[in-house]
Amino acid sequence: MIDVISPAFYFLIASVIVAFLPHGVLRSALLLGTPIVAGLQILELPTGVGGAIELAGLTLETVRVDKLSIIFGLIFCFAAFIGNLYAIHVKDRIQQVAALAYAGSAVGAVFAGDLVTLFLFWEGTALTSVFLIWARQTEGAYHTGMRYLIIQIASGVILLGGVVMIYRETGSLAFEAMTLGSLATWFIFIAFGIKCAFPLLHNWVQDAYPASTITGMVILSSFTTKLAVYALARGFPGTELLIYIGAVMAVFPNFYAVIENDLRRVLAYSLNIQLGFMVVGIGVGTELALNGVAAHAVVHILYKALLLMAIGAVMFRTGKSKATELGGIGKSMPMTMMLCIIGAMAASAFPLFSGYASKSLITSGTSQAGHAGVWLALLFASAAALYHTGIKVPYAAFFAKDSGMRPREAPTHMLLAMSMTAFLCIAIGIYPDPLYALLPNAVDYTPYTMTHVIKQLQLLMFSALVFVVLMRIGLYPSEIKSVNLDTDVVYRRLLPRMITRLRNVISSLFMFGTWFAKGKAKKLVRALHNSHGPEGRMARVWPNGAMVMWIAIILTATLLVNFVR
Amino acid sequence: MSDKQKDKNMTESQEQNPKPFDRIFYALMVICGVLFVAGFFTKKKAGLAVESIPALYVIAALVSALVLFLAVRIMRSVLMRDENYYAPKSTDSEAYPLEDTDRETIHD
Repeated sequence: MIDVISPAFYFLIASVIVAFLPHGVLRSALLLGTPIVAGLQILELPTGVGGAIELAGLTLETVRVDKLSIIFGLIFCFAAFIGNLYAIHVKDRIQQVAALAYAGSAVGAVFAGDLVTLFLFWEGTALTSVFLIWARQTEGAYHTGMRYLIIQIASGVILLGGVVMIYRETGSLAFEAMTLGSLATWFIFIAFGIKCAFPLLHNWVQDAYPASTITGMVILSSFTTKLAVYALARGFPGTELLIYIGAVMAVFPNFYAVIENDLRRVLAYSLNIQLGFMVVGIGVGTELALNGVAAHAVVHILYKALLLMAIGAVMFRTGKSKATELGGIGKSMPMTMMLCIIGAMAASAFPLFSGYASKSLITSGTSQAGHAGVWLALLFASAAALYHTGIKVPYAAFFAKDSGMRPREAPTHMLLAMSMTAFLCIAIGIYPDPLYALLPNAVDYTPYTMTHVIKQLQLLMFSALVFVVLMRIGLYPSEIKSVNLDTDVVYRRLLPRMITRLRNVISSLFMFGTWFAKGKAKKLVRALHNSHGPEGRMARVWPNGAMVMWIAIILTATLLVNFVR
Repeated sequence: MSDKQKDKNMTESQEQNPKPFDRIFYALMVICGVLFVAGFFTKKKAGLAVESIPALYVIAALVSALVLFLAVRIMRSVLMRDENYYAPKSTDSEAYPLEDTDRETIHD
């Protein structure tokens, strides 16, 4: 048992202090210093389980330190630092508190030694992150935030259900590798799947992330989904079902990403695709594949943040993020353009860029495990990623048809945040060994062989050639102001309409019932009125003679009965 | 989305100018030619059987493009809707709040 406190508490305490600090140097220092301090603490943590806390009669182990939690903890700290640096101009206290608490919850979850601690931080990420969407302060953002919150909370509730059942079954709350089978494990699996954006459970990503603030999406993209990847890697490594789920995730969103107009939503679809790669790696479950998952989570956080920061910088200067409204901005934002291209090349897995060093671990792991169909699906996803993330995002924003806008270059702090991230995207690509040293298992893999480089370049260059040919002959899909129906149409349109129709039917039935009952009641009242009303028979005034006659008749009948007896 | 609306949106969309692509096209043709030839001199990997197909990555790139762009055409005709389809309960057709941006413009 190790005697340490969870690095999450640095973030949580800092978020409370930020809530009361006035805007200024101190607040900025706290926003930037907290992730650094937490990151340094993670590097010093001894391996083991500890940080015991008594809660409602349960002993919670808030800290479990191993190579898997360390690598995720470190990249979360770095993402929090970069996100806060990028957002240092923001004066909105709510966003700053939310960003710190959100990062803290994610860090707390990856170090959770038991399922209750995991659940508490899991819900923490949901409750804190929604403020980064609501901070946009528009009606659309409010509704989107509500949808996001419902889905995230649902994930937590399902997780809690699974945890309770696990505890009843085994008497243990330890968060260890599970075998999918019992109802409890299915609950936990689905809870993780919601946050990991499994197919049909994925739409909250594309719905909510682009609705957040400019700086909010940079922060959002780093934590929730990667936390789910961590949870799956910890809880369900080698679960075969994940291979196929991941393959669908890696393929399906490509089609949407190509036709999507909002560049931030393109990146949200792209995020979903890369999660698919990671999920495949978890499903394969070999040491190589799990190394690939951890490496790709790190690399993906970096290059996706870089791309989102670049598009965010464009949005900051122009107020626009749609391909139809942008174009030609590279002339006045050359540095942002260069940084965006670096992010795009890392995302496309060009040799010498970080995506190449991480993605190839997963594809090689899949190949070695003998999953030919899934491997081909990943090959397709790699080629398709070049079109939407590698080419479309920088092309639509910085090149394409000139929009006429000449915004100023991004502010210095944004350029600094992007440059630091871009440096890592290149550094990891050129020399991946320091990253490989942090991975959960020993790495016996050489990414840079002549064969591998040539094959990867063949895939990318021939895909680029197709893009150019399609552009020359005018067959590349134009950017169109539109939305494309995804599976969220079910709960955003179809279900509300069905509920409205059902409500109308029930309302009509109720009206009919009321009308029918009213008619019957009227008849009853009328009958009573006829018999007991002022003119009714029962209310008639009877003459004394008649009364005497009736009394005589009753008396006679009584006497006769007595006489007969 | 109606055809009329689609046409209107198409005119608002970015019409592509093919000229800037000429030089890139020729450069890529050369690069792809070199890579295609180089592919035959690479070592055969002892992995999946499918990996031994000659020029597999070239075929994969071309087939992926074909599948992707054919599917996208069909998808658009079925799934595309007007930008304010979900309005007012989405941000799709909302302008980004001015106070959260710094829209400085330089003039040529």
